[in-house]
Amino acid sequence: MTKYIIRRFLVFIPMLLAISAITYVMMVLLPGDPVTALIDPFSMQEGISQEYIDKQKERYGLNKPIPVRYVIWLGQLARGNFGYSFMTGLPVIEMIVGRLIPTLQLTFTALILGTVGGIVLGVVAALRQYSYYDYFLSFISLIGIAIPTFFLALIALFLVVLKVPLFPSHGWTSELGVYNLWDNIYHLMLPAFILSIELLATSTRFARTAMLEVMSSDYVTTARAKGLSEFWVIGRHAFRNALLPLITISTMRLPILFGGALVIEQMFAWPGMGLFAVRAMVNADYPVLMGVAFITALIVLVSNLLADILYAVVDPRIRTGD
Amino acid sequence: MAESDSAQVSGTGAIEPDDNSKQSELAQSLTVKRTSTTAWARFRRHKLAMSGFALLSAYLLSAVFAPLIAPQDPNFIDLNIIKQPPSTEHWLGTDRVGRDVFARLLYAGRVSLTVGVAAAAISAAIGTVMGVVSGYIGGWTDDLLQRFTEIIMTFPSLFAVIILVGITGPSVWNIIFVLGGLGWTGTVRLVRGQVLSLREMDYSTAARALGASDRRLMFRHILPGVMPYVAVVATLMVAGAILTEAALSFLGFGVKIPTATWGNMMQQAQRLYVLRDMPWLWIPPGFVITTTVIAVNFIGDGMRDALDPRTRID
Repeated sequence: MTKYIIRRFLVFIPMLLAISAITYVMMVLLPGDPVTALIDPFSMQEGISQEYIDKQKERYGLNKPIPVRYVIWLGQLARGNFGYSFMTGLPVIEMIVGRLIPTLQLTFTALILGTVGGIVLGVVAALRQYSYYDYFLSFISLIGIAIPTFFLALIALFLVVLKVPLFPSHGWTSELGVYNLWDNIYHLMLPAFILSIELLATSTRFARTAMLEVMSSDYVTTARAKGLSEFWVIGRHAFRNALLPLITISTMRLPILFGGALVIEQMFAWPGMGLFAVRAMVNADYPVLMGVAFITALIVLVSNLLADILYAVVDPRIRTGD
Repeated sequence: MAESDSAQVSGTGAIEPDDNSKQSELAQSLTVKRTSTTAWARFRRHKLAMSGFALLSAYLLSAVFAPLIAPQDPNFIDLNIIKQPPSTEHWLGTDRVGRDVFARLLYAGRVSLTVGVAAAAISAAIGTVMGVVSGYIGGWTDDLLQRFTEIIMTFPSLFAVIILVGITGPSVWNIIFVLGGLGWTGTVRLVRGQVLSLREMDYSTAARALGASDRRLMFRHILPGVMPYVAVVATLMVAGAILTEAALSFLGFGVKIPTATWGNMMQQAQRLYVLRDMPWLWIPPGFVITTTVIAVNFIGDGMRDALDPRTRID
């Protein structure tokens, strides 16, 4: 077990480096550079000399070759310095930290809602195969997979916010700066539910298929033949085996959830990293954008690592054989 | 295409041709009604797939023949008739600058469907080549390609698309290349898995024994065996690409107005009064995106069932 975790960690480090390199290359490739971004537009009228630009580039270390700049950047990154925003001049990391919690709250609520909800709905559908409930659920999950998140959000805003005001239209809490847990959860409910729909539909379908497959396998028949009650047959024998792969499937969807959160945060003015990143993109504030990209990739990477370890804990075949 | 696929599928099996005909004779004598065996015939009997096929064909045709069907130019601005609800003259009403929504919907289909199909084709091509090479060669090449795939999978998909489109500029072809260039990860894994099993099959050994080179084995013997699977994932990827393009354009980072896409037509609904008072502006494109994706998924599922001889279609 320890050996497995160590081996998994050894893969983690080069991947982290690769991600930092890709992030850096994207930052270099994006149009515009910090020197021209920092020039006061009014002084442009008098004309900026190439000499001045060269001097500024030297001052910020931008005259060095890209690999050297990458190593310097990486060194700073390791110390927790993500650079400074072009727009505000504040350290990127300080700006991100405050927005991390709303995003994690939104995505992980959706992740849990989608996975757990999908398991419950799918297992019940499998146990009542070919019932009206089963057909209805298949139909709903077809739509759930196909509908764009933003269209669903528009429908929800139209129906349960504008027509029948059941939920708040935007924000993390009712009053800026005043935190109240219940108020926060009330604001979270609608956006998290909408974000979870695609995963909910996918995992419902998966849980149904997996459960049906396991229910017709020999060892379930054996368990029944031993005289076990249906509760134990399903709960102890079928359920556990059928749903193991969902751990991987759900964590694999985390990058997609972060992408979806980008849209949802924009639509519900949810003050997370997605909303922040969209603004940074519009303002060409690249250090902020790269900070967000790196942090989200890091969260995904760590989640994959945890999922793999969790999988090895619950499924002995993973750690022993290879 | 489907018929040649089915020939390749049976060709990859370890069963000898003689056995196969004996089995089908046996099957015929056992079943009263003779069932067709080609993939295309099986696909045609798949009701959901055929209804998806019909709907998608209708959308495709209406996009291709948009100039004939559309009542007016999609970009024609008439400030006298702004924000009009659906009427007999403007079937889906007009937008904030008096453009006909129905005409825009038809023309938007051209962009959105092109992006979906072209991006999926690029992804499928990259994924297939990488999957075949990775699975066939194995060793450190395989390790390297697999780690690279994992890294690409780690980046939040929509996020990476937004940044890369920001680098390349939001033209239709740039969006196609970005979506195609990022969407191949699932295909690599699937193709690699299939190649690993096909590589060990008797017919591969036979070809190797006859002196076939690695390249010939990879592309003449193994590639045809994985093509049916690629066809299925490529179809399903069309749906994914359409959804990503729609989200990108909805956020305003995609194809720029006045060129209409299904996603950027819905961008206006980010304004509260449009959302509340002008549902004809955002419900039709949303409906068309959703039904297109459902249709594409049905076709993909139908292809999978048609190509898998174990699945019963009735």
